[in-house]
Amino acid sequence: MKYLWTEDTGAGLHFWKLVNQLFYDGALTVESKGSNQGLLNALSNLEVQEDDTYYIAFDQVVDNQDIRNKYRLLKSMADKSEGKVIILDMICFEYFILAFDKLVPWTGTGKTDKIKIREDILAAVEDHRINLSKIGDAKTLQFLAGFKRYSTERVMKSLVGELTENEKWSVKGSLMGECWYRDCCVSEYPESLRCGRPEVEAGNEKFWMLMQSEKVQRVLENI
Amino acid sequence: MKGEKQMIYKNIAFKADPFSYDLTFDDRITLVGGDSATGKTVLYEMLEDLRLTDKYKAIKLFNYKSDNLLESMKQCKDKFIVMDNADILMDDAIRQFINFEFSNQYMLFLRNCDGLNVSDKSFKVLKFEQNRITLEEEL
Repeated sequence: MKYLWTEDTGAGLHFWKLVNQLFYDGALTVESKGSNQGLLNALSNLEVQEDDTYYIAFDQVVDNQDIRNKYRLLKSMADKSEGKVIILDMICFEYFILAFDKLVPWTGTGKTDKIKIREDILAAVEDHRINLSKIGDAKTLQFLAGFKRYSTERVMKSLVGELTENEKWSVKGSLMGECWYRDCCVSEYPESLRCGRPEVEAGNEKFWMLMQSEKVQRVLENI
Repeated sequence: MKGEKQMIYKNIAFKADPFSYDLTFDDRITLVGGDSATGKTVLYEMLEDLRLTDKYKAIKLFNYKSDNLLESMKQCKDKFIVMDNADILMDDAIRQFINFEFSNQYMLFLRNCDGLNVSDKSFKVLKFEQNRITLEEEL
């Protein structure tokens, strides 16, 4: 059996379930462990069967001490597992969304300042962090300086929240917004759609394109 | 997009008989961690003398004796800032200054990286071997 364990509970878990359904034909058993500590607890109690493989979707950033400590434990568990536990090389689910090249045209967001900030930040992402010294734009730096306690994960979640504020594209709730995986645009008010009307309207096709995006593929190729 | 800032010091090397220090830096922010009594404060004291030399005059030192820490740091441009006991001394405003003042390089004796724009190469520990002291990557 192939298991995919995630620390995410809401839209992040939904994302992995959709990946499983559409990309792997349901071949994975996708489970949320509730938190990164939940992942560690589950792994420490694990009795691995011969044919089992566990893919771990752990949000890894280098600028959070708690995450660093937990990642170190996770890595030591994976190293001892003889290849049965595989850590997926990812920053966080929100980064998949932020880096998706159709995010801005599809959501139709009119937040031009945030669109520019997104571009600057994506260009400065390296090795599980945003390298602030690579950003030259004063407004982008001002936005980043506004975080009371800076962290890569906090910035990404906040910016994705801003760019997907339309509830049909939201990735904040218990599920991904309907526009990510259903025929577009699902709305009780078809005359006042707030999305950017993707060129692809079919839900499965849209989600397929997200799965085919560079940052998602880099992770999926290890499964 | 602006290019990355050059480091003030890629390497700091000096002798303090019978020891020799050979410290290499790989990021504009270096956190020197490790247990107590591993030589961090001794190194800090060595740097107090070293900064009086022409080669290392860009070194600026801060510890619990420093007054108006944030204001003093804000005067620093193109400096190599060293802070002892940074876990105690740093607050959010200082962390923000460090993150966004790119002209300086920073060596912080600090265990908790929260709020700092560090990379994997930022994390170091002092290593002693045959009277030679180096900075090694934290495992």
